Amino acid sequence: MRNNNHGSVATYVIIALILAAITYIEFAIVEYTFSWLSRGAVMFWLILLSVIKFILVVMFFMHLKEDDKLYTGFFGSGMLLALGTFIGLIFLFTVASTTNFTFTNQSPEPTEVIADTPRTSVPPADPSARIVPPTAEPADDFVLGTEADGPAPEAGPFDVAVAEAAYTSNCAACHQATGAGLPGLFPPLADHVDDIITAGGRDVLKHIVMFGLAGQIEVHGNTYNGVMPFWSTLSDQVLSDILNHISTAWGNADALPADFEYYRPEEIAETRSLDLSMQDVYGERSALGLD
Amino acid sequence: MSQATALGHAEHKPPYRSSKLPDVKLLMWVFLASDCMMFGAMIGTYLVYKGRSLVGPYPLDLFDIPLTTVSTFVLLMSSFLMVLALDALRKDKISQFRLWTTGVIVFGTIFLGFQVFEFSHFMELGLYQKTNLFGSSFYMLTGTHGIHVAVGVLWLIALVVASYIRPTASKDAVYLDIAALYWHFVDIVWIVIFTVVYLVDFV
Repeated sequence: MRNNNHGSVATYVIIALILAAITYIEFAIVEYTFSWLSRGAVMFWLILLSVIKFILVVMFFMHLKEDDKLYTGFFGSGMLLALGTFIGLIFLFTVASTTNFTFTNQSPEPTEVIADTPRTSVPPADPSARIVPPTAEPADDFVLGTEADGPAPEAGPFDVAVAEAAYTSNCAACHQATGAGLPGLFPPLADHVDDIITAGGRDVLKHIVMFGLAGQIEVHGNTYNGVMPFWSTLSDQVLSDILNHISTAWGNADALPADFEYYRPEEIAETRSLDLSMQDVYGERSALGLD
Repeated sequence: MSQATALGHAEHKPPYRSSKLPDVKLLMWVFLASDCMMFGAMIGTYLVYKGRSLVGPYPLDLFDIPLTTVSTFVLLMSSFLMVLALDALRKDKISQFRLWTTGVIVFGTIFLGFQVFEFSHFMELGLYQKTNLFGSSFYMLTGTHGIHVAVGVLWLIALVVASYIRPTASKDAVYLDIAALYWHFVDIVWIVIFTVVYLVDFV
């Protein structure tokens, strides 16, 4: 081993003291508000100080400063990839997808909403701001995420474009944009949701989306034994939009019973307290006798 | 291989190596690089979900900065003890190596204790994984980090125990070296989490 190449104990003590001091400074500028430090300055110093801590540990405690450059190369390229993923992720889900998530032009003063909650880096999804008044005309303020595959289903008491955007963001990864699912992995919604509702499962469908479903089911001759996650973390409005979308899209609307009632945000709110388990929901679904 | 044989190289010649670096250490750096990506994705996910929780509790209702500062400090100092332990082993000071490594184990366990306390406290206040986006992404990120710390603690315990079972000397330092690299990495991940998850909210 190249013992003498490595840092001495004295160096380690100095580095440890610097690290401790930096940690205290970080704590202090956040805990005690200094009038001469603007919020932007605090943010800048926090990031700079943690980068310094990071570099000190990597260079001196992990010995990258004096160790073989191959280690630095491997670690550095991993860091770069991680940083790229990180920035890409943030960009995709904040900047590039804001049109899916931000408020329609009906929301009163969007700028003020942002200014009121400066502690978050992302404009908060204020539930009230996401509620779109029922309207029959297409929402032309949605630029992305509204690419319709085929003609939109007849306009019901929900905003079709908003509902489809919510479906695309939350459901389409598994159930696909076409609602066809993936045979054997994710059950189809097209030509299946209508069967659930016709079998008297309007509430069961709501429970599946809100509380998830675990257990073996059979749809159109294929067996599925995955887990449908719960989506109760979404807002009442978004959940009712998604339920209305999957009930009416892909021709499902044609097979619905005549007395079908559209899902309303208020009933979602009332259902939340049920807090069913995935097994409970499975029992409810089995009782419909679909398989 | 067949080409080498055809050229008349003796078959007992050691396999070609491009570097004289110990494989385990190189592999540890490669692993840490991949772990970077995992934590990068998780921290990114936390930030993406930030401010999108529709029901409480929210970060500002729960975080206790003085408490987390203390646990951050504990973890940083454990890194300091770790370099002392490695330095001692490289100089064949076995009893010092045991002492400092045990110190790291104790500090790591204290950090885990803080985390268990924090998690149970948050759950008392109503934050579970399924409560909201903050709950899912926060427990996912800090829980994964906590598991890393726990693995590190077990690893170091194993190294200390092993030093009693068979003679340990400076020639074995590379095995402590890679455990130390892992430990420091877990520490720097926490440096990022402490700033990005905890402090930034209170600015």
